[in-house]
Amino acid sequence: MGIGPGDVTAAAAQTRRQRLRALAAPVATIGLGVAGAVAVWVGDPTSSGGMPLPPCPSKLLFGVCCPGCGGTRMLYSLMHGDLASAAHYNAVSLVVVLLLCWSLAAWVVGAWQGRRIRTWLQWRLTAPVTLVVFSTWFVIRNLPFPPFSGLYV
Amino acid sequence: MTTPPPYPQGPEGVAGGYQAPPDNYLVWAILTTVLCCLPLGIVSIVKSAKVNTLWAQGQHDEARRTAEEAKKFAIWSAIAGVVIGVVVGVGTAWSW
Repeated sequence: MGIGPGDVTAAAAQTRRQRLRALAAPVATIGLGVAGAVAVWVGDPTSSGGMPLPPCPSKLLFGVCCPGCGGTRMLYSLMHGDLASAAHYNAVSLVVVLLLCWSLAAWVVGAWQGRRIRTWLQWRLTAPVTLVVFSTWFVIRNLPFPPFSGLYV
Repeated sequence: MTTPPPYPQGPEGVAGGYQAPPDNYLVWAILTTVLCCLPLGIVSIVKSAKVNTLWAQGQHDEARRTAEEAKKFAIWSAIAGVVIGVVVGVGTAWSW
């Protein structure tokens, strides 16, 4: 028994369906990200001009600058090509955003090819380094004296 | 005459064999820490960090359990973040 052209077409159609199904989650994530980016763009958190965006609860309730504080202003500056301001608002989140773009791209390509692509997330030291960086960042940006006082945004 | 101790093996008898550790949900831990609820997200990162360490020590069941806890704390962090975000958002809109 040979494989007829109909079988090949059916197999190709099945592969296509599997790929589309695997792409659903990363594409939904990209959609969420784009929606968030549009909200930040319209909101303009760097001035009081745009639609008001909710402030970070840790800043609002406790007055402390958390590791993610300044993140929306950083995104706004990044989307407007102002890298210096982006780094000023939250340098750590800037790096995290770039790393997340990397893993998102790997997720899309991996879903398409039906395999898991290794990124920075699978490195042995990623989790402990993240912990150290976040804790240090949390502490130093709340220190009230130079050179750290400029990190409170 | 004593027999020499056997060459150290993992608890599952995998000598030098490599198995990938379970997913430690680190990306969700990081996302929920930055976007949502800081304390619960930090717990999630701590749990994520322990998954690979436990796996490397051969404590595979413990590693899987810790991975599940990392996922649980990331989910709770996301829920807490959404609840707080809605409260703060409504307050912001109210005062606008």
